[in-house]
Amino acid sequence: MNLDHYTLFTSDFQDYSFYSEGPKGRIKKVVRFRKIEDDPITYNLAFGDVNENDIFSDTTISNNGDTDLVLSTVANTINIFCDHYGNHYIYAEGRTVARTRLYQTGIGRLWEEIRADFDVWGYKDEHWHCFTLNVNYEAFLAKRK
Amino acid sequence: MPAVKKTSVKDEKFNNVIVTAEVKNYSDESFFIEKEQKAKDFLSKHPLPDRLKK
Repeated sequence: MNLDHYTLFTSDFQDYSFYSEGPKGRIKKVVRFRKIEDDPITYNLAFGDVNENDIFSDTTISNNGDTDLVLSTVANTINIFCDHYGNHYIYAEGRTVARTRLYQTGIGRLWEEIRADFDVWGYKDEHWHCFTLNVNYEAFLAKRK
Repeated sequence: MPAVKKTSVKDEKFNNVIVTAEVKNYSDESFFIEKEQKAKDFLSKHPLPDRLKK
């Protein structure tokens, strides 16, 4: 999986930044991976915008006309992260239902590319399930094969 | 701390990945801390069952 993506900046392959570019201007985005579980090793994926005052937000809707490119850029950080830190579980959820739906839509749009390299699960109705398109989940786990 | 693969200034495998020397320290880390704690809490309540682990 090597999708088109914005230029990524990183110093340690755990923290990434890139710039969304569109009608609303140049918006800085950050992706951060941090270990949250040891057994099994699981990393949290945090994703959001950062403004000029270093204030983060994962609730703002950028409307910068580049959603697919932003999502494929985030997907690429997962691949690059795994390349450097190993194929561990990656956990992601949105702060809001709308944000979680956005992640789900992103996985759906890139599903053919993602499924080739990753196992993905979604949490719904008190259980984890293998990811299925067009099902609304509360949270996601992915692990590179 | 996991071992980090040594990488040259430009990652050769992936296009458009620039490895910077700068380590960004954000003034307010609460955004990340909150998200990571929320994730820990969720997974402690809802661990992935063994049957789904591969």
